[in-house]
Amino acid sequence: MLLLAAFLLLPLAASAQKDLKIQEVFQRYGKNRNVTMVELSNEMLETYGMTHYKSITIKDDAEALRFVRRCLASDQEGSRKIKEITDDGGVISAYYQLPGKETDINRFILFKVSKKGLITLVYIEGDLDSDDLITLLFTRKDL
Amino acid sequence: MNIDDLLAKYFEGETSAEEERTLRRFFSEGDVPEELAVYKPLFGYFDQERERSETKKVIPLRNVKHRFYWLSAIAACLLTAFMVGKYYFAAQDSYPCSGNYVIINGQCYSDPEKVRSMALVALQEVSSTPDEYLPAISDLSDEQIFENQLKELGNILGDEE
Repeated sequence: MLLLAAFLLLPLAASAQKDLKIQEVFQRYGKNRNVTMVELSNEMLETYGMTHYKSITIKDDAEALRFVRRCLASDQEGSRKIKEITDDGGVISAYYQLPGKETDINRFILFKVSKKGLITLVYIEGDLDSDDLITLLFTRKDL
Repeated sequence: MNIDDLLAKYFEGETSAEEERTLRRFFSEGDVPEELAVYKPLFGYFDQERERSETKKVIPLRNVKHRFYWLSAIAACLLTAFMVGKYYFAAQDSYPCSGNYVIINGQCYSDPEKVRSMALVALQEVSSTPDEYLPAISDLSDEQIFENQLKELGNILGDEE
């Protein structure tokens, strides 16, 4: 009986950590056509000070773009804007830094929509700060 | 007390249970005087009803209990299956693959090189400035290029303090 209860509660415990709206983007579009979703954890990320990496690229989907922007608008409240570029249609490029639930753990949301409509959303979690992130983004040769 | 007195008492509504049983027994035994035969169906009816209700009470009760247990067991099984299925498939939706993976067009891959390269593609994409915000270098003077670079650097570092 206890085993059954633990089994039933396991997904609830996992989903309790997903407090960001952008998680809905991964859930909603992750398995669609013209979409690539990546998730990394554990040893593959240790070198970069990350504990969790998740990205999604969606090709030319106006409805998805509206949804992503709505999620970003919600999640960026209270965040630190490292970079944000907007045009008349809304945000086209952004880096947001959010505090993690644990001390020394930061969370980053990176977003860009290209001129051709390619939407890219990246979520990074780890003990790296914004300097580390900029270094990672602009100097890394490999992951 | 004879049957006539018992009948009179019965119709007055004053008979005891034992006296009513005596009346029913009398009318069910078949040796009923002709003048009292008119009452035979009345007590016969009561007897039949009593037998019918006793039959209903005893035999079906066991069936009803059995049916109740079976239905409870089936309902419990269905409920358990529903709960397990709900959370299992919800978990499957949230975590289609485990560990390091990439999903391309709904297909899951866990090959480390493929996963790593796709992660790198996404990082490269977000680290580049949107195309429309990159003016052609030839259109800008050296001074403008220098100013733009300073502005970009200021944007990146300005918020960090």
